[in-house]
Amino acid sequence: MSIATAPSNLSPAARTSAVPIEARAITVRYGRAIACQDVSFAVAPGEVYALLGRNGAGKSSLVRCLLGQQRPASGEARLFGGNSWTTRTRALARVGVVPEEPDAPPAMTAFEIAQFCRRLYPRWDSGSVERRLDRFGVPPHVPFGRLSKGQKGQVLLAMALAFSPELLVLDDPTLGLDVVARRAFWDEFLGDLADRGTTALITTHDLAAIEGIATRVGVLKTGQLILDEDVDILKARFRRIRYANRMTETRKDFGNELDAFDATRVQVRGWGIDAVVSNWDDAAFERFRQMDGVEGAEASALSLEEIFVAVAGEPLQPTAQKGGAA
Amino acid sequence: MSGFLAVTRRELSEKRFVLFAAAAAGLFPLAIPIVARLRGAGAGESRGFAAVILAATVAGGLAIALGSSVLSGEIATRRIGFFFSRPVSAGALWAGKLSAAMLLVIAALAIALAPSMIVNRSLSPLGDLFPTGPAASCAIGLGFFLLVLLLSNAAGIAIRSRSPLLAADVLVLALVALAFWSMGMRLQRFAVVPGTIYWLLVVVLAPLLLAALLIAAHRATAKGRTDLREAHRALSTSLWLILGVSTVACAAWSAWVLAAPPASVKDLYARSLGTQGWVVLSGRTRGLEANYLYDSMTGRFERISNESWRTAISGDGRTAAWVEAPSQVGPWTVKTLRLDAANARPVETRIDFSRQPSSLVLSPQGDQIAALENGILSVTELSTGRSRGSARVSDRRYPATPFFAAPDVVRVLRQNPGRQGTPDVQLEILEFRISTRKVTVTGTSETLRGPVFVQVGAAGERIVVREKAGLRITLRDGRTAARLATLRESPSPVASWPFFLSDGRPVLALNSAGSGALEIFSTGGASERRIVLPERGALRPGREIAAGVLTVSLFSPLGSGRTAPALYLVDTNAGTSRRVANGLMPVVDPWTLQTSILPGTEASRLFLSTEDARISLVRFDPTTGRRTTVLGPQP
Repeated sequence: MSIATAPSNLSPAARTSAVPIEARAITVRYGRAIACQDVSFAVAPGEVYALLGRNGAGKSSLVRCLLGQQRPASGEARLFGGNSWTTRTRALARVGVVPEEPDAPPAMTAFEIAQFCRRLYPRWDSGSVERRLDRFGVPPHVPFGRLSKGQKGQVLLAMALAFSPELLVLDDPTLGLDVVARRAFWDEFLGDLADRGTTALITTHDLAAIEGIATRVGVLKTGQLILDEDVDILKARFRRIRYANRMTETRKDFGNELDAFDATRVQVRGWGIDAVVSNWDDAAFERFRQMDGVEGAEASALSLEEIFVAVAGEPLQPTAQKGGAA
Repeated sequence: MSGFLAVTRRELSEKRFVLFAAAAAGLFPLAIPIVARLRGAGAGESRGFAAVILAATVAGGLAIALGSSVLSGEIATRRIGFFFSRPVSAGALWAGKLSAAMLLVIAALAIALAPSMIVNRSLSPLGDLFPTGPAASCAIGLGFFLLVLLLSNAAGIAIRSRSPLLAADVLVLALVALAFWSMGMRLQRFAVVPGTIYWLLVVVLAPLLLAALLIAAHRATAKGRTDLREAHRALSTSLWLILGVSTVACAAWSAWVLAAPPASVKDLYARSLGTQGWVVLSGRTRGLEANYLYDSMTGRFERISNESWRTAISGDGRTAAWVEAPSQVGPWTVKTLRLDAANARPVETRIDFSRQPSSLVLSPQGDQIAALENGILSVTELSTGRSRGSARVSDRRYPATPFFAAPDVVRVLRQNPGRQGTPDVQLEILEFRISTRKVTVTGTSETLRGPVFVQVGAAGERIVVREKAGLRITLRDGRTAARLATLRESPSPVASWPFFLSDGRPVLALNSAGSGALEIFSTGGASERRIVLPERGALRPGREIAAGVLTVSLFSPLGSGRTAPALYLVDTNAGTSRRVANGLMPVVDPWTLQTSILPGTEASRLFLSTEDARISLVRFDPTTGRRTTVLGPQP
C-alpha cells in the first residue's frame, strides 16, 4: 500500500487531531476499470462536506472505501484517525449511514430494524426513532420491502440519527424520491445539524437542497477530485459574465477580452457571450467593462448547481473559443 | 459478542418459517402405517424409517438452500452493506449467519423427527439404523449437515461471483481429489490399511475440511465485505492454501509410510521363497502393515502389494511373481522380479485378471505362470503375456490348488465335497496338459475325513494327506491319489505335521502326549525311525542344513512358563537330536503345498528370533552356533 499524503485543506491542528473522515490518495479499481484515482480530501469536525459528481464518477465506491466496506486498490481511507478497513467496527459505532440503495433486509419491519440496531449502539435512543417514524408517517410494523422508496430512506435516516452519531455519511439518500419526500428528508437532516452540529459527508445530485447546508464541496469527475473547496470561497470566485462584442475602429478582432479571467465555460449566444469564470475579481471586471467593443457586460453569482455544471458537466453545445465572434 | 448475538437472533427470526415446513414434514411419517395398514413393531419401524429419511432430506435441503444464499446472496445484492455500515465485525457477521443457519438445520431435523419419536415412545426404531450408536451418529450427522452447509456456502460465493477464478477452483478441487484418490489407492495397494486408519482419516480429514471451509468463509466475509469477487478470491486462496498444505502433508505422510525400509519393520514375519536368501517379509512399519520381497544375502528389497501371500517363485529360484491391483475392484496385474539380477526392477506383465486369483504358481524355469481364478486354470507366458491355454478345473466353492508337475503339465488337487453336511472330502487330481490344452482327471481318492491337509513331494509324484486332526495320515500317489501307505492312524486326534525331506522321504512331526517326536518313513512309506525330542510342544520343522539333517523348533504348550521356542537340530539319518538355540523359529511357510528347497542353502539358515520384544530375522548356523542379525534389533 502506498503512503498517502494528507489533504491540504486541513489546518495544522486538524491534521494532527483525529478528523472524522479522510481520504488519502485513494484509488479504486474494478478489474481494469478505474472508479476513482488518487483522491484525497478530509472532512473536518463540524463540517458538512458535499461530494458531488455525475453518475459513475466514483462517489459510491469512494464512500464504501471510507466506511471500510471496500478495500481501495491503493491509498488509505480513515475514520476518526484510524484506518477504515481495519478499525471499521469500532469507528462505525460513531457513524450514522444512509446508503444510496435502501439495503435493510426486506422482511424486517422498521421496529425490528430498530430492535436490531439497539443492540449495536450503546447510545441508542428508541424514543427518537419512534418520534421520527411517527413524524414521517412510516408504519413501524410493515416489512421494509413493502415501504415506499421515500419511507425506506426515512427509516434509514431515523436509524442513522438514533444514536446521536458524530459523523453522518449520506450516500445520495434522496435518489429517486419525490419533491415532498426529499424536502422531508433534508428538513429532518437539517434539524439534526442544527441541534448537534454533526459532521457530515453527503453525496447527492440534489444540489439545490445541499446548497444551503454544505460548508465544503468536492467534485469528482471521471474518478478524479477536480475541486475541493469551502462553499463560500467557491461561490465567491465563480461568476457568470454576459456581454456583447462589437467591432470598433480600434478593435479589429475578438477573443482576448476574457484573458484576465480563468473562464471555465464560454458559450456563444445569439445576443452575445455567456461565460463562467472561476477567478472573479471586482477590479478585473471593471477593467473588462471598460474594454473597447465590450458592451452591456453584467456579472451574476452562480448557484452550486451552476458551478457544478460548469466544472463537471459537458457543454450543451460546442464551446466556442475564448471570446469567439458574436 | 453483541454483534454476533444480534445477527444470529435476526437470522433466526427472519427464517423461522422453515421450522413450520419441517413440522409439517414431520407429520407425514405418521400416516405411513395407516396407509400401509401396519401395526405393532412394523408400524413403529416404518414410521421411524420414514421420519429419518424425511428429516434428513429436509435438513439436507435446508443446509443447501441456506448455505448457498447466506452471505453470498446478500453480497451479490449488496444487502450485506446493511450490516457493514453498522458496528458489526466481519467475524460476528460470519459466525452469526452461519450459526443461525446451522441452528435452523438442527431445529428442522429435530422437529421433523419429533412426531415419530413421540408416537413410537422410543428412539430405538431410529437408533437401530445407526451402527455407531445414537451419540456418535448424531455427531456424524451434524458434521455432515455442517459440511453440506459450508460447501453450499462456498459454492454460492464462487458461482455468484461469476469470476474466472471458478475454473481454477474446479481445477484445484479436481487435483486435490485426484491426489487423495491416488494416495488412497497406493496405500491400499502397498499397505494393509486397518479400518482404524480410515476412521482416523474421517476423524482428521472431515474436521480439516470443515475447518478449511469455516476459515475460508470467514476470510471471504472479512476480506470481501461488499465485493463478491474479492470475497471469492479470499475464499479460494484460503481453501487452496489449506487444502494444498493438507494434501502435501498427507502426500508426505503417505510417501514416508510407503518408503519405509524393511529395517523399520516391527513384529515381522517372514517366509522363505527359494533356495537363495529371498524371503517375503511382512510386518508393521510406520503404523501400517507392509510386505517386502527381501534378499537376506544382499539386503536388496522390493515393496510388494498386500497380496504377498500369493507371491510365487520359480523352481530355479530366479523369478518371483505376484499380483497388484490399482484398487479393490481390480484388475489384478501380474508383476515379476528377476531375483538373480542385481539391479532388476519389478516388471508389469501384460497378464491381467478381472478377479483376484486364488492361486498363483510359476513353472520350474519361471517362463510360465499358472493361475486359478474363479475356478478357471489359465497358463500364460510371462514374457509375452500370451495365453498357453485355460480350462475350468473347479467350482469356485471347492478348494483347488495347482502346481507344475512338469514344464508341460499343471496338476490340480481339488477337494470335492464328500458326505452331505460334513467336512469330508474326496480328493480329485486333474492334469492340464498345456500342449494339448486338455484336462484329464487322473485320480480320485475315497472319501476322506475332512478337513484334509496335503503336502506334495518335490517332484510331485507322491503326496501326504492328513485327515481330520491327524486321525489318519496316508502316503498317496501324486497322480492317481491311490493310497500307497498309511503312515499313521489313531483313534484320537494328534497334532501332526507331515512334510517331505529333499530325498523324498515323508516325515511326520508329532506333538504326542509325552513329548515331541519326528517319525521318518522310507520313500515307500515304511517306518524307518522315530526320533523323540526331550520336551513336549508343537513342532515346526525347518529346512535341511544337509541332506537328512534339519532344524525343528518346538513351541512349549501354553502354561509351561516358556514362550520362546527351542530349536533342535535333528539328524534323521543318525536318529539324533540336540538343542542348539532358544527363541529361533525357522523361516518357512508350513502351508506351502510343495517344498522344493535344496539342503544346505541360505534359506535353511534363516530364522525368526523371538527372544526380544521385537522379532528379528537372523542367520544361524546350527552346527557352529554362529548367529548374525539380518534385520531387526541386535540381541
